[in-house]
Amino acid sequence: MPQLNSNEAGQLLLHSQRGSIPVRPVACFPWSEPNNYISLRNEAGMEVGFIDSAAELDHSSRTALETTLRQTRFVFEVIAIENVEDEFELRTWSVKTRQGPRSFQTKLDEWPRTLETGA
Amino acid sequence: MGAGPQPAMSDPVSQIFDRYLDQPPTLPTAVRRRVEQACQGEIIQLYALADLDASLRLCQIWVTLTANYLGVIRVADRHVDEHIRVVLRGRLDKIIEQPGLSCTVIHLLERAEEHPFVTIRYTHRQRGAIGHLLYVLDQQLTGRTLEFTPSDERYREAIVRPIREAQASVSGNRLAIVWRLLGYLRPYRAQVALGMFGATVMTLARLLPPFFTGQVVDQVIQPFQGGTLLLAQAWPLALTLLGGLTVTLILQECAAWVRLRTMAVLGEHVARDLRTQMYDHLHKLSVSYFSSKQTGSIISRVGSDSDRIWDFIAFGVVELSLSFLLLIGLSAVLIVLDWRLGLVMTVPLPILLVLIYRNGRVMHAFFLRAWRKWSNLTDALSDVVPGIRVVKAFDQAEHEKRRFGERNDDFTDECFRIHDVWTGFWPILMLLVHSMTILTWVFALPRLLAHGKVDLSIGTFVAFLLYMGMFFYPIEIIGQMSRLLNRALSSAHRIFDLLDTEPQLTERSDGVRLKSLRGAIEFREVTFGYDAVRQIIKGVSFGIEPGELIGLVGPSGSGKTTLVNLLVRFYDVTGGEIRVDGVPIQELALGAFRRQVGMVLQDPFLFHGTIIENIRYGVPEALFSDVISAARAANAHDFICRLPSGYDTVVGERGHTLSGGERQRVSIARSILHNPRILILDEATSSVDTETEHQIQEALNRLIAGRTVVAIAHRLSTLKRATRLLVLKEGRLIEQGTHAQLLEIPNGVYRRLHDMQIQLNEVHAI
Repeated sequence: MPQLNSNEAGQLLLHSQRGSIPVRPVACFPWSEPNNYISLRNEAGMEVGFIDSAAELDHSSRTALETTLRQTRFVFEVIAIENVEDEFELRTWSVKTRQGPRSFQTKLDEWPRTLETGA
Repeated sequence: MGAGPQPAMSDPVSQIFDRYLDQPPTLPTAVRRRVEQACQGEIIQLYALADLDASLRLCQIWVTLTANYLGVIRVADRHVDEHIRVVLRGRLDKIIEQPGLSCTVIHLLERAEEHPFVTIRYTHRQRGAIGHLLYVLDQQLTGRTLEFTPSDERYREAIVRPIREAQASVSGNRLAIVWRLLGYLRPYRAQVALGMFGATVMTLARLLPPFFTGQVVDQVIQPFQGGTLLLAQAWPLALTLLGGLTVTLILQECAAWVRLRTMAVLGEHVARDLRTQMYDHLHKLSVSYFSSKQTGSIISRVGSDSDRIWDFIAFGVVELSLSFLLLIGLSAVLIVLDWRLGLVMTVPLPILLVLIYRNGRVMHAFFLRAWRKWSNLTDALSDVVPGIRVVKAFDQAEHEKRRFGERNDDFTDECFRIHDVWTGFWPILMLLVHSMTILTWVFALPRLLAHGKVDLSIGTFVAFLLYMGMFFYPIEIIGQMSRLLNRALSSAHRIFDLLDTEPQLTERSDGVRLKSLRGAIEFREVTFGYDAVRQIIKGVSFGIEPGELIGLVGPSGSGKTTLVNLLVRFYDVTGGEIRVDGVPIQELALGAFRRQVGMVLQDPFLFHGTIIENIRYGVPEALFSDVISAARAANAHDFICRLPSGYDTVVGERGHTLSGGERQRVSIARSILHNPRILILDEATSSVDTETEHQIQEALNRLIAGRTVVAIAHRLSTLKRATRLLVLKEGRLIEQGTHAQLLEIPNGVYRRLHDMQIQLNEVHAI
């Protein structure tokens, strides 16, 4: 199992017999499987390690990985919709997110969209 | 045996002959007898009509085949007497075909460079039937004897087919279409009954208010003004009648609500059923259907046509039947009220209905034409939108705008014509109706103004006038509905046209399910042509062992793609046989077979969706980790990980957000995950950069390992690795062997192709 920790600059480091190198974790399925299937890439973008599931890492590696991932997969989490305003071709949403209030626009015919499951 | 029974003229094929073709629907019995006599009593197996004589005048010459003879008989007409020639089929040595713009001449020769012993000339209409005949003769020349049981069907089908295919635009039997459409209401009997009930109540309720009005005049107002009714008596009576009127009106609108809602919902059900049925049917149709129809026409059938059916079901069915009911009811009421005035109103009624019906027929034709123009218009759109890059690159926007504009104008003109017809018709119809009103007054006035005995009470006359006003309503509805009905009918016509298209491939219900294919393929004397005339594959035989890598090589147009299409059974062979693991391909359960066959095409098609959905297309239940391994094997993993959303990235329609090489690798990953036993590979000719080329090549090598692979090969590396190369030219297999073996054939086709490619590569290298 890969050994990971993060340095002071907040960079994730991968340890091996040849020393430690900074890596960038890339989630293969950032939306459908955000915590699993993580590809570790070196500075040149080459894959130097692969983690099927964060659960199989030791505790400190896992913490380091998750701290880094938190930044890379930052998304606003909407907790309430305050107001939706339709204009021609544009829809303005005012929402409350876990990170604070925010408003954004979507194209009228793109959102809301039906998910594969019909929801 | 002689002539089969002459088919009755009522069957659809004979109707087509009767209506559109000026030729006999079968070989006339007398002619058949004459020919069979001349052929030593042998039975005619196959025949066709050659409809031109030596001076290219239309005539009736029958070309017939028996087991050993070729008989040509000219039926007597104004110019010549009957003339018959019978020759032994064995004499034939060569067939020369001289195709022309609208006629073809065939020379049958005994030996090359000799005067033909039979020459036939025919117009394109006969091409299909004669094509069969020539095919049999052609096969005879290669030493194969085809026997047929005598039947008229081959001739009839071949002649009728083009017309039947074009018949979508020909108006069919309208009553039959309405009837079939109503059949879709059957699952919803309860709702139909409810809707009908609502409509009936509504109609009956509508008949009451004039009655109340007449009563108020005759029972209350007149007696009161005449002094025979006291105020104290008049008020309660008047209020009762008013109450009755109120209740009736409320009831009427409630019923209207029930009727409208039920039928509107019902219409949606039927439209949905039709759409589902059409879409399901589309998936059953063979690839050839989609190459013969333009996308726009299919889309408008599933889309707007089913919408018009909704119109008809929601408003047409009930309104129309009730309008007739109302007309009959009103006529009865009017005659009962006063038979003389009643007759004035009802006698002209049939004339009006006939006028409406005839107008409807005209409209139907106009609507069909308008639809065709509409379909033209959408075709222009569905053609240009996917090809917008080409349009821009060649700076043809103005041309395309003009093309669209012309079609748009064309369609609009057609609409104008439609509006001309119905807007002109309406005032005339209504004028006729109004003239009935005038006529009623003309008849009623002398009676109302007569001194002494008045046989027409004012109340009756007022009620009569009100009923008369109601009379116009159903006539108007029938008139309007006839427009709706015609629109719906032309839509239904096209929907049924699609639904009635038979898939060309028939799948046996008891097809053999091969659990796991070994991947042995055998072609035995396979011949194939997309139409009856031109053969694309001509007697190709070869065998492929499981796990072999076969390269198909040949100049473009040599039949490589067709061969591959036959192997996955997009089309059925016209002659010979294809066997997979020893089982004839027609006997395999198609689904189970195709699940074990994979294709990687030159221009890989990705659907709108995420990358993972695209990779999992054939195996939706695949695990995430399997998807990743497949993508790794396809050299796609790295570039996918570089995308911000990774495998969850949504690729646009046809995957246009990815580069060609990336799409190619995603499609390879899809095939690796699909894990087919037989793999069809259509190698890209388009040039990608060396690095991408290398990546794709690596991916392909992993993909083909351990499978039976048939590759349309262009890359030298594939050619070298192939266990065997099959070289096709003009539909025939002319060379086969390994790369090295084939290069040793002096003046070989493969060698020439190879040398040319090498030269090209050198040019590139410079």
